[in-house]
Amino acid sequence: MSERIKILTGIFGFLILFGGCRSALVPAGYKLSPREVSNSFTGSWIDISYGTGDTAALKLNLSGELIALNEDTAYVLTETAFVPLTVKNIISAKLHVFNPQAAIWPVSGLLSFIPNIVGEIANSTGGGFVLLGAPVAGFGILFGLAETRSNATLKYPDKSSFDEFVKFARYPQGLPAGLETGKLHLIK
Amino acid sequence: MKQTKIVPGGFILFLFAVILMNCGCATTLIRGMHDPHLINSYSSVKNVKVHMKDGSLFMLDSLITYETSDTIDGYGIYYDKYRDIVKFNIHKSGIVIDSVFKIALPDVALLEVNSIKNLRGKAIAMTLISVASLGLTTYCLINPKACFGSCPTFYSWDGNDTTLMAEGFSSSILSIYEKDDIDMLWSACPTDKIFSLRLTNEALETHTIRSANILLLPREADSRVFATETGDFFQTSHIQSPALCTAPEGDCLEKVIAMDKMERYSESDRNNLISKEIIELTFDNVPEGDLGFIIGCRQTLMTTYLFYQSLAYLGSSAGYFASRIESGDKSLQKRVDRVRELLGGIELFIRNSDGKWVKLNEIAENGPIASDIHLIRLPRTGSKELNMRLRLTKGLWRINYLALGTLMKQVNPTIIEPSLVISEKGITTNPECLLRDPQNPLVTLPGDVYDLYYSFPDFPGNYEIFLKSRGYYIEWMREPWLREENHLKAALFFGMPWLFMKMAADDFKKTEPVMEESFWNSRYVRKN
Repeated sequence: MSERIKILTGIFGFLILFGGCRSALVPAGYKLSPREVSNSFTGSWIDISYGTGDTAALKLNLSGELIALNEDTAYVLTETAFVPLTVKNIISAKLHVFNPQAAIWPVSGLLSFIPNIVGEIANSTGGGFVLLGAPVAGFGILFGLAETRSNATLKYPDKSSFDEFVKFARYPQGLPAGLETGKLHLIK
Repeated sequence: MKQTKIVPGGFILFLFAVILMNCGCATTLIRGMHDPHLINSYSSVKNVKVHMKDGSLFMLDSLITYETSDTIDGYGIYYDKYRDIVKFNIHKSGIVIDSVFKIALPDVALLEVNSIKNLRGKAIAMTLISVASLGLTTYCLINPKACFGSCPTFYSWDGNDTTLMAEGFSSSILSIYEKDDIDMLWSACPTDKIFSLRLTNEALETHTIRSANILLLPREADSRVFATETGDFFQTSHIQSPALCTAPEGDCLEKVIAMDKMERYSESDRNNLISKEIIELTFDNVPEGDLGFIIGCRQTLMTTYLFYQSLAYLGSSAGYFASRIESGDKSLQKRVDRVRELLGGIELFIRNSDGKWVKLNEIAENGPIASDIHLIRLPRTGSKELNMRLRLTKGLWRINYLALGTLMKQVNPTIIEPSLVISEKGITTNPECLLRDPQNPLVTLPGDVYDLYYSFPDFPGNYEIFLKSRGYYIEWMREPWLREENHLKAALFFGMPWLFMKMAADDFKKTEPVMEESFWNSRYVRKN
């Protein structure tokens, strides 16, 4: 394999691997682009690791829509049930605010880079076409790296306090009076 | 040393990545939750969610508040507490289909407003970069002869930045054409006794460089030193710009009065690439004494285009013909020379006392990258006004600077060989005699970068700095060129170049407008 092909394969591999850094399994109705968030009428999807009692021996992992949060209780609507969880027993939580954009920029860079790869393979310019496309691929990767600081995903307790999750609940004002929890349903 | 400080490209990229990761450039959702009573009076907010105390939700395209009213109005969708749609008063298309929602403020729990930070800017930046890259790539795919070419290129510190100063032996396309090339480093600005040049190979070429010496020439205040085509150096004073400079397109004086980025050039003739044009010059208040005409110029990319086109037509036979020329085939050499002669240099004419135009000299230095400055000695006319003409091929030359000067005295250069040659890659093969022993030349490949260091006798010294380089280069064949192999056209190019120049004119015109920009954007330029 020529050096040129190796380099191109490496670039492809990096971009594909980078593009593969996707978010966890979040139902389609809750996988929102940043722009769609303002049109969402639900709470955000949350993955919770929960330890019952004083010990974390009985650890429970559950995922669902964050319905509401008050001082000591988080209410989550899973596929099967409406679950109140004691906040102090939550070991960790990951709130999916919107789809991480980290993969989009490298993929855009890769797509824009394809003509350069074609040009290089067809013309053997000793890297000339690759260099021409390097800025667009480079910016794609850098923009992707910059997204690691995004608030697309909030993580408790690593980077966020649980209080920050309140405004991403379906009812940020708290559970409304007279709510019949049996009537709550997820968005498909 | 300021001008030779090397910052590895990888480090810059890493630094850029770190800055980008820490500058708050990530896409960020900012969700604001507002007390309904604090919302500004008489204001209008777009895309707002109204969370009601009973758990229901109004998702409004816009929201209107009134100072005197305890309701807020809006159009959008109303969901009940279980998020089933109860009512909507506006269609997706934006057409209002029902009466406005009137929401009682006391029933509102929270107002939610979302905004996205840093998404649009990045999208615009990425789009612009992609479009530019795609455009240039497409152009280079269609016109590969307009991209990825140059000669040995020299950079140095100009007081503000490391800039391109000279290109070496552009016409030495085979070892048989090897020759000395003297280039004035017009804006070089040494910062101490150690002067440095950065030598790069930015093309798909193999450069064989036998020497790259600095010529130091003493200069007095208010004078500069220029070189003639024969390699003589003259201290020149009382440098004056032309009073008039007229080309076929009109007055072009502004473009030639300073050695700056402004250049006078014209487009080639649509019917014949060797059509000539004339630029008329007038100098007023001409002083007595020995005079010299100063011209700063470079070629356009026409020669590069024709050179590449000839290689393409020769295709797989290019190596065979090159070896024949190298072996001393005089008839082939003459054919190559004939093409050069047809394109020609910049001919200089002067009107003598009889009113007749007399040809004085011709500037024919090849190279489209860096302007070089030439001095042509003028005969004494005894007149206070000097009329001159430049005759040149249309679309072949970019003229940067025209002036007249008084030749004070001839001066001899101090020749300084590089004391140190360091590869950017850290490879120092044969460091003792690199660029000092002509029998052991420095051979560079695409992307190679070398820093050349010279020890000046004193600093600061009032010097004019020239670069004298010697060597040759071999152009690499490109795969798409081979697809254009056509020996009939090659025979026409070298056998009847005057006819070929007519036939190729239209094709060249198609690429000419963007050739310069594409060329500069496609080179492997790496500055300090």
